[in-house]
Amino acid sequence: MTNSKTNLDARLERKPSVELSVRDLKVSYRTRNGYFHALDGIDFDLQPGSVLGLVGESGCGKSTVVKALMRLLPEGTKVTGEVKLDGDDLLAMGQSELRDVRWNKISLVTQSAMNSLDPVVCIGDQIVESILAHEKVSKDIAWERAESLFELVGLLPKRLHEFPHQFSGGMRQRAVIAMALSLNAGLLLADEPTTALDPIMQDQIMASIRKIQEMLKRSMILVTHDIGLVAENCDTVAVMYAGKIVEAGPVQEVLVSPEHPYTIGLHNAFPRMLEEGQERPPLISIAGSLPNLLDPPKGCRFQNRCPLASEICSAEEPTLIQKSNGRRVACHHVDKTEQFRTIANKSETWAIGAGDLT
Amino acid sequence: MRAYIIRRLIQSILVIFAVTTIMFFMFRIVPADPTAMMVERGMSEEARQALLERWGLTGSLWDQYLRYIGGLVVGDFGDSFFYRQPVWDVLVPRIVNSLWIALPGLLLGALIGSGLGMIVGWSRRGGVIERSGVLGATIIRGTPSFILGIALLAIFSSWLGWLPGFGMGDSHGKEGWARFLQVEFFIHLILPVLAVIIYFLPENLLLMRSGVVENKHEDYIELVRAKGVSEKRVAWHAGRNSLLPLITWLFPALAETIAGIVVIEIVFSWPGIGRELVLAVTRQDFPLAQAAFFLMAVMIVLANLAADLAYGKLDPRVVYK
Amino acid sequence: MQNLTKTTSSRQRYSWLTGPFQAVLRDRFALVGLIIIAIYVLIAIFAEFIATHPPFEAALTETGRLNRLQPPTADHWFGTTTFGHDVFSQFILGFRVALLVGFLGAFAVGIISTLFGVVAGYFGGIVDDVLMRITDIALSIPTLPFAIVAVGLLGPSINNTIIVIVVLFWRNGARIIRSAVLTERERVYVRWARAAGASHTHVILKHIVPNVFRVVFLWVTMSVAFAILTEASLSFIGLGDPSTTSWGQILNTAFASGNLRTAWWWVVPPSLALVVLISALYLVGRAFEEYNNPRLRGDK
Repeated sequence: MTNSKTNLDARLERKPSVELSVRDLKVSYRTRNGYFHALDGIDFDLQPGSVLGLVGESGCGKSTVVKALMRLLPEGTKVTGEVKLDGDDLLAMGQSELRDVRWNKISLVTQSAMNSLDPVVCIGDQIVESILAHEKVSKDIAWERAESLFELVGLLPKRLHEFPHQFSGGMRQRAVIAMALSLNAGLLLADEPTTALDPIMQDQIMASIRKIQEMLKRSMILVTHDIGLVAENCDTVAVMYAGKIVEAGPVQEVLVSPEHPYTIGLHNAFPRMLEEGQERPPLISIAGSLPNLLDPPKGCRFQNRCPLASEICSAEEPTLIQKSNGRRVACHHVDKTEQFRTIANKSETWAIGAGDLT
Repeated sequence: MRAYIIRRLIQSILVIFAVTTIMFFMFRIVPADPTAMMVERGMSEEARQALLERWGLTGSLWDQYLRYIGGLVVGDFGDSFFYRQPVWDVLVPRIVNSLWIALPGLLLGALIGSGLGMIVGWSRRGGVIERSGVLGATIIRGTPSFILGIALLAIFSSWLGWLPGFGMGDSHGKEGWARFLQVEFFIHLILPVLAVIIYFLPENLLLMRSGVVENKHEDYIELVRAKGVSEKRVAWHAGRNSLLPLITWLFPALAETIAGIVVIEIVFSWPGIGRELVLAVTRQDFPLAQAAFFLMAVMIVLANLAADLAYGKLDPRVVYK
Repeated sequence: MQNLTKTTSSRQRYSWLTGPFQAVLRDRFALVGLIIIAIYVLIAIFAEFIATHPPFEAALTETGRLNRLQPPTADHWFGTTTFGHDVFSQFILGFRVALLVGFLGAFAVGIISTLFGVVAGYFGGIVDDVLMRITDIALSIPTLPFAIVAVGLLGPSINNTIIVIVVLFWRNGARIIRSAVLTERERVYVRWARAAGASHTHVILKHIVPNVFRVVFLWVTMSVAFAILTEASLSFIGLGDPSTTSWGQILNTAFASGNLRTAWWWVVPPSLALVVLISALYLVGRAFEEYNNPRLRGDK
């Protein structure tokens, strides 16, 4: 039954993937103590069918990017800039246009699949709900679609009748992915899709996402704090720090020869496979914490944790410089990175107050 | 599932049994001499004995207790001192009368209340709808039911003169169901039912609102919204989840609500079981008071049972063991 | 480190006491409620000075006849009753009855339910089982009918009314406080304190009670409202203390004498006083509730 493709399946399969361009996106949350500037001028492009990794430590604003793209920010949040989805400005859309775009063009795999399903509605109905919101089809057709989606993500179709609490964490995550694919949206936002799972389950889920991406050729943004996941799954990467992109470019380039001190530090903060005969470098943690975004400091936002910081860093904000090979980096000391990289895998380098290495 | 229901039934019977026992001893122990109140003065000793025997007041307290429980099991509540007829015959029509105002009142109160609670909970926090909804509901909740009744009487009966506010109207000699199928009866029904609705509404509203407010920031609501469904549909999810705490509260709350209805029956002189209880207590008609109280306790126990079963229907996470 | 803990603890030591109050002061509705309650307390304290007549003095007209059902005048601000009693004086003395019953009843309810709740929740075992079975049964007893029967049997008086209120409302309180104690007992620091050899008394007084205090506070506030409501209902039914002038009693007299529909000056003041007082208590209670339940606050 699930092998026979319905008209709906065929129609959805022909959907093109989406081109996304984000320009000068700024988001400020309203809090009791004033505005919290979570994003401050984010720029990036996503080619149709490619995967962008958005990476950074928690609190850097990467999840805010997802919420802004989904227009799910709380009331009273200031959002400026431009988000073009195949040329249409997402931020300027009215409620009904927005409802049309959601799930049809952008869909979402959420951070904690634990709480992202309604506990008292069976999973099949939740998937069907998303289909019926956009397609004029019968409930049976929608349910058939849900069955084929369940098969696609590796779940038994008959379990569509079950409720979220009857699923394990990994199964719930798969169900959420199936739901995200229900209308074959051109852009898939995956916000820490595997964070809540154990490592083995993480691998399985990521493998499944990879397989689906290759098959459906969707545009995708993968938000994660795990550089390893970016290396395995993404075409391009944008490294975020304190509400800004500090470095971006093709994955092979940025991760093999990072240029921004933060990227270099982040790179060394993860264990990785070693080449034959290579000595295991120590895992480095970057001392210090994010600046207060209620009142962002002048100059470079990484200065208080950066071993390379000098006077210019606290006086002037570095701009994101476009380089020839599609790479972008925002640092006053790009010229020193070559020499910095050699000492960056020593933990003393990152100790607070290590002083100026300039 | 069946085992669960059987276990809950046995539990309910035990609870009813305990309540009955407490009630029995309260009635027999507290007054200095129960017989003195029940037996008319100047009565011959034989006549007194005969009366005592008829009312089950002879023998030790323990014997009396056993006889009373034995009577209950076969549905015999004894005779009313005041009406001089079996308590059961007195109470049945009263119960029917009470249900006429209680059932529609509670049902409509719960429906309208939870519906308004949805709206208030979903409205913008700190906005006009939210603030006035919460304040209004709190003030109505703070209004004792008899004041509510008096206010309705004053407005619709005395001032506007639209509706009667006393009793059930003339029966026109009709009995049984025909008695209730008269326009006059329904006109008399309006004000007491309205009082029950308004009395029951605010707690439903506030509870539903709390549930919706708690749920509307949950992750799953965000994902539902992300799916691009209508905002009404998003609210439905929050409401559906808020129904669960409402159900757990709703049925046990009937215990408190019966209290309000007792007073409403008095204000509107509605010949229901609550008004009869008060009359029986003031007339010291203990068999009648005892039976009325017993029946109210049974209703509450049944309501609790219903709440448990309804909850199981509404929440898939509940497993009956 | 030593200094750090000292300075934070001096401010935080009493946060279990000040926290709920700050919550009330922040909430505008609750603040209004608190002010209303304060005004009521003042009136209750000075009731005897405010009242213009003895409550049961029959007013006479110049011709020596009973001055009954007199609409408000300069002498009788709220008019007179069908027996020629001064409504204003009865109304003012009603403040005292309401608050006395409310506060005394709620205070006793608070103490008893905290005691039972803490003991049952903290020690568990048989005490807990017995308590839970008792509340199971007690929760099946309809409240006002029970009060009617009990007061009817014991005889109407303020004392009996308070006793009945305590019997009726301690059970819910004990249950709520018990579940708060249960979660508190499993907290890491409590188990640490036990492991470090702290005595039960120490743990209960230092860790458990301050942390469940906010729940106690909520329940006591609600109990004041319930107590006043119960007393008013009983009095309205005709089971009030005949020697006092509570608002329910005033309304009962008006109702029983058949003057409800005409003598508005007799009916409106006690009705309004009751509605305003109970609403004020609920508003304060609501602020405690939001303080206890962060999910209700909605600020993330």
